[in-house]
Amino acid sequence: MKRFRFSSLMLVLGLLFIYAPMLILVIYSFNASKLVTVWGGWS
Amino acid sequence: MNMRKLKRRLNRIIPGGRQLVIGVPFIWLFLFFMLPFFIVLKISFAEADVAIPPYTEIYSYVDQKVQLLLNLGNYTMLGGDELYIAAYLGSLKMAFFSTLLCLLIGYPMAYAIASARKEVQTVLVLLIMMPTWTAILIRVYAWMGILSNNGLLNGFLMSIGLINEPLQILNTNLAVYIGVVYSYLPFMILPLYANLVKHDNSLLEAASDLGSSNFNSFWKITVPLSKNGIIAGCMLVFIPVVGEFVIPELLGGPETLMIGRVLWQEFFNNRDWPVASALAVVMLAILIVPIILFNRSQAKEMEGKE
Repeated sequence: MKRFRFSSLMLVLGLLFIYAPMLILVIYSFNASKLVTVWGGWS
Repeated sequence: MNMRKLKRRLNRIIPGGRQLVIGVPFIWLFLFFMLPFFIVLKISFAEADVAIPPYTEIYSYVDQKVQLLLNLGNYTMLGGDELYIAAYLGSLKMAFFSTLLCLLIGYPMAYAIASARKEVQTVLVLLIMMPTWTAILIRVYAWMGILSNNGLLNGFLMSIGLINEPLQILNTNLAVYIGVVYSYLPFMILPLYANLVKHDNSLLEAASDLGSSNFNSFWKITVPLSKNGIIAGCMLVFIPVVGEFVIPELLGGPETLMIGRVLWQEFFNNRDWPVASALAVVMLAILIVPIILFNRSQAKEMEGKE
């Protein structure tokens, strides 16, 4: 069942695509730096 | 006898419970869709003026004469100016390609969800739906942090030595495509899933009994059966993306010409309400074809359920 594997792979990749930015957003909300995209330690 | 006749007549005039139930959505649509649309249509025929509100009235009553003054200049200007035509074409192109990308990514995802176990399906659908509960502005901001010149993606690519100087992704069309596909992917997956989950598995089994390959039976059975789901998903993505403003404004650059941005500039920077309204009316006229397509596919889907 090769087709099933391909669609499952797409599902995992798609969920990663959907959740990675939100995860990054959560992590960067603890950023101490004044700049949004520059990491300046935990706050 | 006479009383009964009178009663029947009265019943015909006074709306019963059934008419009331059907009438509520109609009143809702009339108040919040038709009325605002007619106001926009009215403004689109007016002329810009230095006043509050900044346009002229299209009708006047002087000396017992009602005068209706329709200014078609806004529409002829739209047709004559290359900027507006380019903006419409840019929006349509953006909507078309992002719909195609959403379909290519969303179809396998919906297929995988539909072929998972029942308990897992609920969780997966919830996972797909959950991001839409967060504000779209915040999610697009996250992409700004990832794609900017000193952002995460460029930092990662430079740290592994793939590139020496940061790639310019933010403020290009590529960033807008990423943002649009990201934001609208759930709207593609959900209708596709709702369609795919109803498919009868015995058709695929019969096909494979008769010697059909997996891909062949997928292409000749599953895809044609999910036609209504594909149309519904595509239209749910295409229609809002044509009028999209937030994503091209935040992620796009000067090269990103889309009708939502032009409309905003006309309305807030130029303070030309009539031209902005004419832009909106023309956009709606363009979108009528996909909206009809969407409605027809929905109607067919409903028929299939019974």
